Amino acid sequence: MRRPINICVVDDDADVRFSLKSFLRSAGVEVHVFGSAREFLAYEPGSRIDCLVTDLHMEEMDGLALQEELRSQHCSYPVIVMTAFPTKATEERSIGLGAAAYLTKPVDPDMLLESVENLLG
Amino acid sequence: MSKNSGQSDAHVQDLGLAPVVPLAEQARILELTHDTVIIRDSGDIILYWNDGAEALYGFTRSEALGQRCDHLLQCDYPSEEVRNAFQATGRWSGEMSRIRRDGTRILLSSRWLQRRDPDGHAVGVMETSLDRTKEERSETERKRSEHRYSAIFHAAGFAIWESDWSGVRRHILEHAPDDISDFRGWLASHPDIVREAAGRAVIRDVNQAAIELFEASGSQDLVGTSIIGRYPEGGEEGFARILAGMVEGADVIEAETHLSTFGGRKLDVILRATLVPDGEPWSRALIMAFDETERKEARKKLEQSAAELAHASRISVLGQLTASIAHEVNQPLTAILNYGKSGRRWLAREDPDVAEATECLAQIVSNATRAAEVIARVRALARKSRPQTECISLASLIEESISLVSREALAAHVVMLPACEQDLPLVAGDRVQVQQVLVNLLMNAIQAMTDVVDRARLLNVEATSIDDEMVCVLVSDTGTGISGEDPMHIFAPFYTTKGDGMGMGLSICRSIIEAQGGRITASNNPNYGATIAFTLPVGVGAAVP
Repeated sequence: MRRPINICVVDDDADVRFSLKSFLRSAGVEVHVFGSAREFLAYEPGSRIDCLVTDLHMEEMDGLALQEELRSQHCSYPVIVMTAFPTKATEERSIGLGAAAYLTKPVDPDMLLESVENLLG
Repeated sequence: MSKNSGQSDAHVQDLGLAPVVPLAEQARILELTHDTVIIRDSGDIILYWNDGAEALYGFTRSEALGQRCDHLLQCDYPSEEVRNAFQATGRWSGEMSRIRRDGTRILLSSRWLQRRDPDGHAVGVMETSLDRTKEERSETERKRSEHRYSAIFHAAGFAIWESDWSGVRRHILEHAPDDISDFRGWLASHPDIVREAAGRAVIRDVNQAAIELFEASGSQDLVGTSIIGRYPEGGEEGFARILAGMVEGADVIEAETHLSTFGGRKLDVILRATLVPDGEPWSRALIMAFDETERKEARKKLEQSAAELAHASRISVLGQLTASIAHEVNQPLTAILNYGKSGRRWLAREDPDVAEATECLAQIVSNATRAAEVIARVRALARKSRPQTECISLASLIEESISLVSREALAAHVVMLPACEQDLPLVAGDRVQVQQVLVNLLMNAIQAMTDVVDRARLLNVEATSIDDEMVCVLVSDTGTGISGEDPMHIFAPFYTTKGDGMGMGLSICRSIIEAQGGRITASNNPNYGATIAFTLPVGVGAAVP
């Protein structure tokens, strides 16, 4: 049997974060959620992560800064960026930093799951 | 000097035309009289100068005798008229002026009698004169005062009319019971008598403003009539109050009442009635009417405009917050979508997980409530309601306002630090409007810090009670501060630092705070940025949610 996918979600809105967790769990996905980029970075560095879904606008460290940090750490897993305020500039920067997808909130969770599954083959 | 010219006339007549009185006695009478008596010969040389003349003109007898009267007193009189009168009747009476020893010109009422010798030839003049200067002065004063009154009366920008109310007074006194003690109450309960009495007031004069007020075609519509026709049914109350005040002895009475114009328009007026003591009691009443209709309408319009402006400004703030609001609503909607689809999956499993699905439903409900609350907050700000005073909790209002602008603060990297004093009393004010002020100040502070790069962008919001009566809210930032000498100028209308701003935000904030009995001030901080402080009165009662 295939091991379950491990997805990490970073969003500073608790309701969004936990609802996504509930949905992904119901789909049989292993989920870890974080309220901030820092919390996520503090997550065991050795943990196996299949995909990161992160919000763009957050206090202290935003999604782009997180992407930069992960890039400097040579992280290999795909990063999906979600935002309620999509702009051409942030999309370009995000994709430039290697984002696998740039999604506009509200994101249909079925679509999100589908894109994750596609990414992971 | 006698004030009675008839009496002095008698002297002259007796003295000049009664040869039966011995000469010596005539001379004694001349000495005794207070009137001025001068006798001149045909060459105008003064032959006789009595005490009265000394007193009036200031020259002693010895100084005057032998002088030419015209030279001494610089007489000014109608010589032609005198000559004709002498020819016709041998006497003249009229007005003339002379100059006293001290140089003052005096006006005289003079009577001259031609003296004749036994052959009937004119040998001179005997005269008696009365000083009219004072009389003339008071007459001039009276005329001037009358003129002034008339000028004011006619030129006044408000309606004035003069009425004879003696009939009003008689009517009331005739009908009032003998043992009356409470005129006010009696008049209030007898509108019929008040109306009849009002009908006995006769307008004597009206000014142009009164003609215009009543939409009359001219003074003839009003003069000679009573004001009663202008009192709409039921308008007796104001008139009764004036009457009661007058009966009680007040000189000036003010009352608010309604009057109707000839055009049928109903007016709200303040009547100010003054009794001018003149002849029969109440025969001269001066009524001034101040048309409050326009003022009341203007006030209503002003209030309406202020409310509309405040509303427009709220809408404009909401416009600036659109992104935040959309986000605020979007978040719970996202959660609802996620939980909904999640619940469906939990139940669609081979082994349905009811507990998980139930949790999803509970979360859907709570997120829907959250979205509804955001909408309600926005709706409250967008609502066009009349301001109302209620008891509000500043702490929760500050919290809500901060949450409304939180996205803006986040985007601008501004840290908001609310600090409300514990047990802060409730304040009295309009919830929506106070929130508008708060949101406005927060947004301004956030915008004031966009250019700051060398220090933290901090937005402090403090609420403390000053004393038992006032609570103060401070909104301070670490922005660029307020330029110019007087920070208070930011509250002036159309003051703006934003290219696309109308500059009405702070001016409206000021109107809102002042309308609720508070004050708003602005000052620059010692180091960086500015502080806007406003106060609100402590409210009494329970908080309105």
